[in-house]
Amino acid sequence: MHLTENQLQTYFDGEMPAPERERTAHHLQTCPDCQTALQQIESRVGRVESLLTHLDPTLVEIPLTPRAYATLQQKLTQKEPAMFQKLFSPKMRPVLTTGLIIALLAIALTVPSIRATAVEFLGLFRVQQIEVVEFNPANLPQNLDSSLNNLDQLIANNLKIEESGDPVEVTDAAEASSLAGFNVILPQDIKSNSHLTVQPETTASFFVDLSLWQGLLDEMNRSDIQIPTELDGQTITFYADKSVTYIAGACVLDQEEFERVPFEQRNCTLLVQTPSPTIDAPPTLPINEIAQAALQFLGMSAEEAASFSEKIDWTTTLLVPIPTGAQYREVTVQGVTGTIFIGDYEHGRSQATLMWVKNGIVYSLTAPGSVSEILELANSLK
Amino acid sequence: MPAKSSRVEPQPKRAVQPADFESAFHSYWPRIHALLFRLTGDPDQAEDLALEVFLRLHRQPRLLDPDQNLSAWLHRVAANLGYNALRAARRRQKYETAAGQLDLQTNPSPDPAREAERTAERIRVRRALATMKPRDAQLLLLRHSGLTYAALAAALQLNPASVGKLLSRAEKEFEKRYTNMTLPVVPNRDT
Repeated sequence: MHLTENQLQTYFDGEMPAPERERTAHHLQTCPDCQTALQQIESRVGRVESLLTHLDPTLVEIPLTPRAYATLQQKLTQKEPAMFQKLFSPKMRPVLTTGLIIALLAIALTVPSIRATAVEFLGLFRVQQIEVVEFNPANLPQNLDSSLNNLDQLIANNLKIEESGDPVEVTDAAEASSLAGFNVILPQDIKSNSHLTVQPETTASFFVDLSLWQGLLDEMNRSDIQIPTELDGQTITFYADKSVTYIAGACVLDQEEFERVPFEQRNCTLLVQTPSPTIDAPPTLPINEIAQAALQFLGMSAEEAASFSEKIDWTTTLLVPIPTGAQYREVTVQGVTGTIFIGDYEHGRSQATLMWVKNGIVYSLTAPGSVSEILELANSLK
Repeated sequence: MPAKSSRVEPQPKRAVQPADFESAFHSYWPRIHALLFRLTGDPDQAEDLALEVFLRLHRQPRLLDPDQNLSAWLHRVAANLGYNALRAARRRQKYETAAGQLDLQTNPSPDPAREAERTAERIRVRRALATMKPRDAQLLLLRHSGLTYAALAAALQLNPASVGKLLSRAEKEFEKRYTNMTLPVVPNRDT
């Protein structure tokens, strides 16, 4: 019997334990075929090694350890903004639309929520309803924070955003409606300190390099999660129509800055309305499998993810993952069913976000106050 | 989501022991930096990424515990970061080359022609690696960096008994891709 490729390579690399090594050496003496195979490995290893040696750094190119350590200490004392803070920093213009697209993109890529229609080459997806999935943050990978930096880099390298123009500030609902091309609804008493803006159409193309995503999962010790291989090399494109933002009060989008604002002064009202973004993706996109991978990431077992996934119509649903313990409930708003997410209570005040979809338009209203106050505001929008 | 029956007990937080961290840094910095240099070919980018590896380590002091395989973790994270950078560079190079704007890093050298040849060779090796499966490319580079089979298996989460076979295949795959790789366009002053 001849030696296997594995045995020969291991033997040549000097990685074989003593007793097996002796047996192998003995066998080699009597097996000319094995000797030839070993010689082939030897010359191949030599060629590959000499090519890889081209990549070795010279001494000049390695920063001295003490200097590198000093640089590291310096970095440790600077607080790095987290990815989402960077995304929403004032420099990212126009913040709202881009942020919304990225948020939707992130959600849809992990948990698509969208409907496939029969278009010849492309699947066309559209949000029709919102569903909530709870997850326990304790079940997320432990080193998620550090991996988010990697995700940041990954998104930066693979995401291309194009806008059709600049945001335009307008004065009333009629002007906003004619510019945006859909019927814009607003509060009855428009605050004097408010800004009403029509955001440009945005196209966001995302190139999926599967090995990068799988590498990220490996690093988080979640190699068990398999992203469907059909996704590799695909480009997924989001089209967002013009959206309209209404902002009143002190709205700060930078999370860190926001946390420094005293609770009683957080009186930001933010209303975003936009026709459901559409997504172009190959019709063969295995939505169910992608959704299951994302649900496992959120802490479900493979079986739980499969059975949960069965019950959801991924084709029409925007899935919003929220931490266990966060409060939310279904409510009736503008005659349809919406979901309200209730923020922390402090000093008798709360802030909540209400999301609903009506006639193909996705609405999101964030405002201070109790649930009934926010509902009242939402129902008064015209 | 169905409620989990067993609660996850909060892990007691262990403060980073500065001495542990510093000694880990000193033992691993040259190796981790060299690995990232091989993958990126750019000393500054390699330094940034290597620093990133140690910043991540700093955020996870548990990895400094004696029962953790620190070397495996450092090599895994560095190999991932480096490979991602290699892939990203490859995509950028695609159109740079097409536009004939491949910018060779020219170091002052007594023999510019030889230096250009060496640079072209480096680019070709890296491109061949960039087209390989991440695990195969990482396996080759980590072996070249001096990791034993046991260390390779731990770093890349492989079955130790199959490392020889995987290395053998990765080498063949690398040679094939290297040979089929068209030579990078080296700007020539005469044309």
